[in-house]
Amino acid sequence: MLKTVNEKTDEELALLALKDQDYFLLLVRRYEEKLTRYISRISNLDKDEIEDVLQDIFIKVYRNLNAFDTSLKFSSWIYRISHNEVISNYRKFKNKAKIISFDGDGEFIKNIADDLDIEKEISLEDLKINISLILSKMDIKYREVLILRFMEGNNYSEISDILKKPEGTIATLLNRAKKQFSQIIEEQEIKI
Amino acid sequence: MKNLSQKIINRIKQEGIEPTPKWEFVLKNSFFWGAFGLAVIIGALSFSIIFHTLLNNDWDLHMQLSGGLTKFIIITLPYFWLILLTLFIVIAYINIRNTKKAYKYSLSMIIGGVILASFLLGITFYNLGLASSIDRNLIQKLPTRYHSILDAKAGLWQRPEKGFLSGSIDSLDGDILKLKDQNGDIWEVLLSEQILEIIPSFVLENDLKIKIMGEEIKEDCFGKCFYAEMLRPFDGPQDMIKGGMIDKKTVEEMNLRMQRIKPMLQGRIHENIKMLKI
Repeated sequence: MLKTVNEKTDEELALLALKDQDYFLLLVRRYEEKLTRYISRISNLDKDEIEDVLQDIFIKVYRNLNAFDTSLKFSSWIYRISHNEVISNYRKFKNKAKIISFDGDGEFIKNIADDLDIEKEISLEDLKINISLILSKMDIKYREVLILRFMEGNNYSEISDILKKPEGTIATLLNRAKKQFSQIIEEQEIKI
Repeated sequence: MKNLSQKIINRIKQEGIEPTPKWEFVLKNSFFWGAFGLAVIIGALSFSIIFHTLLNNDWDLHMQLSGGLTKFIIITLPYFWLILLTLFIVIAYINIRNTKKAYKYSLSMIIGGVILASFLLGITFYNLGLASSIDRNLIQKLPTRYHSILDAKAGLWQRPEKGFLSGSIDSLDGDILKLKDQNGDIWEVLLSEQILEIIPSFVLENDLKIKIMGEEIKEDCFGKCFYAEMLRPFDGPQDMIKGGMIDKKTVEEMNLRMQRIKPMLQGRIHENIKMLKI
């Protein structure tokens, strides 16, 4: 029985959760880690604040289950709600000086380095610190699109669904984000 | 963090949180689509009235009415309807942006689509005769002082001292026509022989709105008098057909007669305008 439930897609669980709250528990378990990581990457909220925001996100998801458009991926929809919740809390954290957490592996560096024609010069640990520094200095709209593309691994169509912007705009945002990323490297003389 | 999922479920149970019913989302989405549709329809009606105004804008008399084409265009552009059209394009855009899939399209695509839809629907409304009847009804219902807001040419045709007069036919007796102008004043209009020749008598019926080009008579006249050298229905022959007031054949005959005597009329009008300037 448990195996059958675990095999169900997010979309199926979302429909089942309308009838039985326990199915929603499964959805929360599937997404709590992913969303914690996502929020910590795009914002500089601390652990407790992230937990508060996450609670609000899941409550909002539950309340709006009937609004879930089955033509979308459930992940895109829940990321969209998370994005909106973080943006609506943006005023609270935008003046905080905390460095953005970068817990990515070499994959992010490889992906973005390929795009920016950057050669790796330092160790992975130093890289993580430096990339955190660069991400912290970026505008949230550029930081988020880079994270969704290179760290969360979403394609243009999924990012378009999450940020509710046309795919053409996503491509433009990504280009500008990469430019800002390179600019910060040059201006701050950061090694990567 | 391990307890987060349980905390959330507990909160849902304790606070009795329920998913919002589907009908609320359906209603909200339908509201935005409905408001979008309504905005496009009102925009299209504005478009149709803009066509109607531009097509019946006395282009042939632009020199006499304003002294130059540019000035004529500036004076007679249907600003009210253009503002209304812009407003409803913006309203349509705001509503469509709130529907589920609209984010997939860029601003220019949505605005372009709304303009195209209003344009095509506007042409259909114009061809159905809606533009002239709405324009006429609105003008009839509005106090006279607001007419020039809806129809800029109304002001141009209410300058008797310059030789332009318009209003509704109050009565007709032989070659004397009584006209109630836009301000409600009654004018005794003497029709020239040429007018009596070119305008079929049944067109000149009571309450018909007309515009007259000629000369104000200030001597030997009790009250307000005007000598008419040229006369046409206020909304132009094309609209009269659409309004079902005269048939197309009659208009064609009128146009042919008008073409025949136009040079002669224009010569006389020119002389009169020169005299008026002196």
